Order: sequence, then structure tokens, then C-alpha cells
Amino acid sequence: MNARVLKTLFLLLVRDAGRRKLPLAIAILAAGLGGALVLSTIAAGARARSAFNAAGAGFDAVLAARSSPLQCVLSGIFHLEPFIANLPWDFYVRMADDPRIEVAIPIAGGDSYEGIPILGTDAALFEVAGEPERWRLSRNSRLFDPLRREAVIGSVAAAETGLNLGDHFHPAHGPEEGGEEHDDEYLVVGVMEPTGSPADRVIWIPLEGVLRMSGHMLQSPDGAYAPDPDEEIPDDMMQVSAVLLRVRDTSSGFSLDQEWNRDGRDATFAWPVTRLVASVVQRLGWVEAVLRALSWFTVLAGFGFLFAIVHHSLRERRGELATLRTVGAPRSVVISIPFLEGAVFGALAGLVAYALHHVILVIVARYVRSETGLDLSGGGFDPTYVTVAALFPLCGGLIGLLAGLGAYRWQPTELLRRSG
Amino acid sequence: MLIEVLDLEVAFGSNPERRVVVDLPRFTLAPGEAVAITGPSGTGKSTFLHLLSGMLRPTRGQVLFMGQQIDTLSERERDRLRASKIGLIHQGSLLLRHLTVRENVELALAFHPEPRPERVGLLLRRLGIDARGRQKVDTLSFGERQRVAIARALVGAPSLVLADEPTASLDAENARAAFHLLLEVAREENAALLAVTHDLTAREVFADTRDWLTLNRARGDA
Repeated sequence: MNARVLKTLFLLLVRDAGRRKLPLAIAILAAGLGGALVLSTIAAGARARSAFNAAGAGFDAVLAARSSPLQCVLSGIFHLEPFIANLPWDFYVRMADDPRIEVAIPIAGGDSYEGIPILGTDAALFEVAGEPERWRLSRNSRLFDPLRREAVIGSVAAAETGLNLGDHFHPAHGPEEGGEEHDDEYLVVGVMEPTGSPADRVIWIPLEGVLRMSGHMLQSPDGAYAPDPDEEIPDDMMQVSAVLLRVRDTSSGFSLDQEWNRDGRDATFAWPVTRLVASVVQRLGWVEAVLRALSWFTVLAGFGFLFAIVHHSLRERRGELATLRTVGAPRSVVISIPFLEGAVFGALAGLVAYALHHVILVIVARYVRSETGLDLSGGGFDPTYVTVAALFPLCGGLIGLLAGLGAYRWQPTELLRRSG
Repeated sequence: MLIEVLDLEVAFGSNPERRVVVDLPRFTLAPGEAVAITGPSGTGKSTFLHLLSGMLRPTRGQVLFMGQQIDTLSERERDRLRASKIGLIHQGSLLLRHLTVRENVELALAFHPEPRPERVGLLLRRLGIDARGRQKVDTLSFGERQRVAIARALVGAPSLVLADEPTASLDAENARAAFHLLLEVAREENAALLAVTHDLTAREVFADTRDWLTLNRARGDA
């Protein structure tokens, strides 16, 4: 097939497509949307797995009140669930002093501001957290003074609440939005650079700030206790919600697991975080599979519609095919018309899929970030793109061939008779 | 001889419903000759043209084109023959409505082994439709469309032009004018012309007219 013939075929394609703009646009959009959903589920799934794995920010274990390990991870690492109970301060001390533990950071929760969790912690958190890069504060920011009512806020928390350096706010009781406001007023002294982890959706204050928050009562063997502002809280009154941990090695992890989870019943040692997260992702795998299957059905529907258009168009264009045969066009040209149309429309659907999936990913990433702090943006080249790039024009071409089989068999005289 | 037909028969179906449509003992056409075959509709005239153009194979007999038996050629060879040596004008002109006048004429060059694109402009000018070159054909009158069909048939400089009911949509005056134009242009291009028509005005224009019912011994409907 020479360049002149190809030029003629493209001319016929463009002119005929011009007469069927609306149905063609709908078919291409339908197939493209299906493709976009397929690409999005694959890419978002991969990015989510990667983001979930990085969410631990360098901590590979959590010690929290007795519950399921997953509950400990969801509350201690992802801050998606409230802590179900507190641990005595002694538990933190035991962990900090344990030679099998490399890093131990206490956190305490229970309050929020406009739905964003407020966590009390030690300033040491900012020196050890972050993997592979340490957490950083934005310009003019500083860490909170452990003895003052000061806060460092994550980037998503800042965006969602509108809080900025120098702003004051009152924490509200409870994890949900609309809780009763505490009298304590906090000053924002630091805003974190985005980390892409759940920490971005947290307001960090000193640990003692949580313990001394007005209205908070600490539990002791002698009953409820409200600390006096001027006196130090005795160690046996101190409490934490969880301890974020970095275990020295795997054997230490196994040993601690045995000690806390099998031999002991005082708390849950959730380790390793990555395996627990993977189990969640795995449990949700069927959702991804169903979404992907539905997306492929949408692709199929789009291509089915495309088939109907090409098939119908050929029947309407018998006169055109007859003319081509009378001027010496071979059968191969007749079958090339639907093949080329299918391939070009399929390629267009592929382009639509590629463009739309980017839009979908941006929307999904924004939503996930605002809900969890996890960063699903970015992501490198995915081999699925190559598959789609090849598959769409190929499928289009194949359905074109299928639609054109009848036309291929028509004799020129039959075409003339049918077009007459 | 440009065309020589010997003992030609075309039949459709098989016994006992076999229907002979064309039964022609002999027919010849010399280079540059112009012949009109007249006869009533539905008596096999178009089928005869399809045989001459290689679009249909006979059930018996031979069609020789410049001494070459075309019914024994492969389909691809017959396609090439049509592309380079035979121009066809059909009833209803068979123009592509969504293409312009020029694009319709150029279509015939897409499959030509040695195309001469400059002939497109020359023919459009000769036929008086060069000003319509960029217009879609469905904006033209019947007469103008017929001229486009003539230009497309002749643009490949064929040795033979086959015209099937070329005046089907025209009144007597316009039909006469169209026959005259077809004859003149074919003569200028040194192409033989064979027109089949039920339009009796052809007898007034063509010097050589033949009666299809005398030529064809078959009487079945085509």
C-alpha cells in the first residue's frame, strides 16, 4: 500500500468521521473512560501500596493498649482511629530502656481541631522520624517548647484548618469535629514541610500539653487526677496513648512479640508495621479486582459501540466501496478502511484513557491526602501504559477487521447493485 | 482490436433455475471507437459492462482486452487493469458526497500505476467545473455531478470508457448535451467509448448505435 493510497484512506476516514462526530465521540469517550479507570485502579493501587509502606515514617512497631495489632497501627501510625485506651508511662520507660529497641517515642491523643487529630509527643520525634528523609520544618518555623502551649502542624493540617505561623487555636475534646473546646490556647510555632505520610494531617503539641489539657483527668490507682499547673506530674500518673518504636533487628521483634503478645496481656505490640499494612491492602485486593473488572467492562462496551458504528458506517458506504473498486482499489483496500478506522479510533480512546486517568489520579490523590495525609501523587512510569498504548489501537483495528469482513467478501458488482 | 468478445455467456443460479442473462456470440470495439448500445432496462446491459471491466467473470466465452483474455487474469490483475486502462461512469454517478469535486476526481489516481495529477485540473477546466473544485459534490446539480463522473473516468487516461446509463437522471435536452460532451471528451482523450443506455436520445448523438436485444440472445431478466 503506497503513500497515495494511505492518504486517500485517511481522507475518507476523516471525512466520514466528520459525519459521525457525536456517536464516535461517545464511543471513544466510553472506551477511553473505561481505559482511564483501568489505568487509575492499577496506578492508584500501586501508589497506595507504596505510600502505605512508607507511612511508618521509619517506625516499624507500635505499642498500644490491648487490641488488635491492626487497630494499633491504624491509630498509632495512620491516626485514622481513636486510641481505645491509654498505657501507663512505665510501659514507655520499659520500651525506651529495652536494648532490643533502637528508638521509642511516646504519643498521646484524644483531642482534635476541626477534625484534625492533635497528638502530644516528645520533640525527639522530629529528630528521628521520616524515611528516607527526615521530617523538616518550613521556613521561620521552630519546634514547640515542651513546657509551653505551642504546636507544630502538618502541611495538610495547615491547609485544611487555615492555621499558620503565629495563629492561636483552642483544641476540642474528642477525635471528631464539633467536640467541646478546651480553655487552653495554643500558638502555632512551626509548620512541617510535606512528608507524604499521615503525619501531615496531625497537629503536634508537647506530650505534657495533652496530659495537662483543661478538662482532662488522668487515671491513677487512687482515682481520677487533674495535674496542678505548677507541679510536675508524678511518673505513676503519666500516661501515653501509644509508643512508636524502631526495633533493633528481626530477632528482637520476635522476642518482643512473644513477650507482649503471647506471654503478656497488658498491651499489644504491633510489629512489623509493613506486614500489617500489607495485610490490609491484601484484604482490600478484591475491591481493586472488582473495580478493574468493571473498568474492563466499560472498555468492552465502548469498543462494542465502536464496532457497531464502523459496521453500520460500512453498510451505509457501499457506494463508496463500489466506487473504490471501480477505480481499481483491491479488496485489501476495502478491508483497510474499517481496520484503519478502528485502529485510529482505538488509539484516540487510548489517548483519552491516558489523559483522563491523570485527572482521576489527581482527584483521588487530593481526596486521599485530605483524608489520610498519604501522598499518592507522583509515581513513575508504569508498564501498563505500554500495554494500553498497544492494546487500544490493536483492539480497535481488530474490531474494524471484524466489522469489515462482510464488506471484504462483497464482489464489486454486488456493491454496485447494493449501492444502486 | 481494443475489445473482442467471443461466445460470451453469463448465467446466474444453477439448474433448474439457471438464468442466462447475457448470451453474446461476438462483439468488437476498435481503439477510439464510440458506440452506444440501447435497450430496455433490466436486460443485462450493465452486466455486459461489468464483464468488460473485469468486475465479473463470464460462465462461458472470452473477453479480450487489447488481445489479452481478461477473464483469466487474477482479481488483482483485473483491479490494475481497471485502474490504468478503463474508466467507468455509473448510473447515479457514484460520487462520494462527503468529498469535494477535486477529491472525487483524484480518487481515480490513488490506484493508478502512473498517475498524472496535473490532468485533474485540465479535465475540470475542460468540463467547465474547475471553479467548483473545492465544493462538496452534493452541492452540485445533476449535470455538474455527471461532469465530475466523466472527469474521474478520464483522469487516468484510459483506453476505454464504459458508461452505464450516464444520462439516467437527466431530461432529454440535458441528456443530449451530456452524450455530446462525453463523446467529445472521449475523442479528445483518444479513448474508446461504450455507453449502454435505455435513453433513445443516444441514437441522435452517436454515429454508431447498436440494439442490445439484437446483440444479446438471452431473454432472462438481469
